[in-house]
Amino acid sequence: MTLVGAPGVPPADLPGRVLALDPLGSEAFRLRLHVPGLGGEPAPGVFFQVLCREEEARDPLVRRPFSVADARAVRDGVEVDLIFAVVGRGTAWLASRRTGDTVRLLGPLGRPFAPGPGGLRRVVVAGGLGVAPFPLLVRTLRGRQASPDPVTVLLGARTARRVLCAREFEAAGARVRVATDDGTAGTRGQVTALLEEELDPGLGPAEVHACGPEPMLRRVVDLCAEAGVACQVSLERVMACGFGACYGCVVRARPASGGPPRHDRSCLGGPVYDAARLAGVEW
Amino acid sequence: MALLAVRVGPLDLANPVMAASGTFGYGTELAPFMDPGRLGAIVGKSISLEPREGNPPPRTVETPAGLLNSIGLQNPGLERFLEEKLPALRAFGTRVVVNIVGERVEDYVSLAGRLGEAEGVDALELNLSCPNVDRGLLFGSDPALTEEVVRASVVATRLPVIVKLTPNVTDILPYARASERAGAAAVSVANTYVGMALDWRSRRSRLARPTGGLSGPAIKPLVLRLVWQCRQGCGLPVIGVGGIATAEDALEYLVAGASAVQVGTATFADPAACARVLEGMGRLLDEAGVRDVNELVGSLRAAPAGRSPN
Ligand SMILES: Cc1cc2nc3c(=O)[nH]c(=O)nc-3n(C[C@H](O)[C@H](O)[C@H](O)COP(=O)(O)OP(=O)(O)OC[C@H]3O[C@@H](n4cnc5c(N)ncnc54)[C@H](O)[C@@H]3O)c2cc1C
Ligand SMILES: Cc1cc2nc3c(=O)[nH]c(=O)nc-3n(C[C@H](O)[C@H](O)[C@H](O)COP(=O)(O)O)c2cc1C
Repeated sequence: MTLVGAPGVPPADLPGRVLALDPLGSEAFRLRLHVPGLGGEPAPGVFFQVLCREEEARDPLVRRPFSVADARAVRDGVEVDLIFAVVGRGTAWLASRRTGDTVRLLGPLGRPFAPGPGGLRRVVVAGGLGVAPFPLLVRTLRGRQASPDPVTVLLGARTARRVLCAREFEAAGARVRVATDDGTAGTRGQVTALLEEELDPGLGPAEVHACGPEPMLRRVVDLCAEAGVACQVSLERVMACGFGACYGCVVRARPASGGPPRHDRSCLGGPVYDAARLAGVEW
Repeated sequence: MALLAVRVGPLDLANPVMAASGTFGYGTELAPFMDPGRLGAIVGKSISLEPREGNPPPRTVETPAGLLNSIGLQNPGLERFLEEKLPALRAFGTRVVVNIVGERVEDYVSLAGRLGEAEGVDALELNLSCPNVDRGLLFGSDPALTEEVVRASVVATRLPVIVKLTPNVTDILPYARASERAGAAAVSVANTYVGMALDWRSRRSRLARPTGGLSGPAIKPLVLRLVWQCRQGCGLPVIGVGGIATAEDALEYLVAGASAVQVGTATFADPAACARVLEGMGRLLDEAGVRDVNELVGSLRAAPAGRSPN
């Protein structure tokens, strides 16, 4: 069985209309799109494959994957936000879109974050642009029940101006802690040092959701495994198709059903993985 | 409506548009986006006797209008293919071509034999041309070995055998002719071109392995010429595959001499690419007043003397 897309929202190739392209911090953008025809609000952690060129052009050739940063169902479709920085040709094209332009989106694709049952401290760890999937996740976590679980968002960045979405998370009712490499905001050092503090068993049972650079995620996976804390990480492998056809984006993970690690297509089996499937594995 | 049915040797197809091996999964991956049953045929990702884990990531990197890949033939192996993949492939209701790959002649013989007994397989495509595993090009870069492995496979199965050739040779014709002598039904021209992409700052390949196989629009002019060459110099039907993204691309291949085409990398950017090529083909032929797509096959004209070809 092929499993693509968020539960209940069939993936499709749809035109999105640019509502706004807002700068975010010193390097990033938040692209707000109106996507008529999308079957519902995507779940937190899923992604779209975005065509970063005119349709008739042949370069850049393949689409670029971006996590759904936030989504709001509106009368005639869904508004979808993407958060990105310019790192190459595709993202440069995206950053040159103007209000009213069309951007083609394929999705939603992949498996979302699957937070465990209520009654846990939720710890979200975001390194740099790894913040992208979390506005929707944090809103979802906070909006779940009448008395939602406490959410702590740990933001790591190189410098203060690259700390993204802090106010937004606070507005959603989360506690925010920041670590920067140069100490210009929050504590100086790595965000995983903050995670170590948050994993203190004295604070009560917790669940961790993380996204960011792979070295950070490896540390998060190890720390959570040592602490025996449930954890899910969103991985960003280089992808060509995003829907399981190319076998490019594999991650070495233990099968969910057990057994030795195997190359798993992260566009179908991920991008969000249960850390237990990665702990101790050279993924 | 222009007639689109074609024959590729003994294989009759409802239309000339096929999905290329390794770019269409085993069909089900594409089903959310298009109806694979509309295509002339589906070629599944290469199957080996035993399961293969493939190469470490990163396995793909984009180049100008192209894609380098180094997947390394990850596949579930013959037994799981027969159990888990073939039933769904058959259910699409179109021709199923199973692409097979081996390390020894006996591997191809075993695969061809077993698949010949399986129900719902219409043809085999021998991958003699994978640049991404050690010795993957072995059979495809020695005409005598090509002939040996093709002959052994043809003998081992009742199915038509298509031979997928590599472009990574000085002259492709000896390989096409060796396939013909050995009893192949057709040749697929071609697999990917070996290439590299690297980052000079880190002095590292952008793939986990130093080299990969180049596909996409970047290779289209090169493969178009190979198809034309095979059509001129060999009696076998040719299936053109390389950089097709539009109906125009596909029709150019037919004029160069292809009896059918495969769409590969284009599917990654647009999962409905095969269907779009097919639709566009019918429309363009109608507009041009071509009644039957077969009229185009191998119809390249010589440029009139003293005039520019355009
Ligand atoms: C599931 C998933 C979700 C993602 N979500 C986001 C997101 O929400 N926001 C965001 O800014 N980025 C995200 N990315 C990364 C994003 O896809 C890449 O930054 C983008 O493809 C770069 O395209 P480009 O053409 O600008 O750069 P290119 O010219 O293709 O490459 C420029 C640089 O980016 C690197 N790169 C290319 N592809 C990837 C990749 N898949 N992951 C990491 N680095 C890559 C290259 O190695 C190169 O160094 C995500 C990736 C995945 C797989
Ligand atoms: C990611 C990828 C995987 C591929 N895997 C296979 C394979 O398993 N077997 C095979 O015979 N060809 C494989 N190919 C080659 C294609 O079938 C095709 O010959 C080639 O990509 C050229 O066509 P294109 O430019 O339309 O992609 C693969 C190509 C790509 C891009």
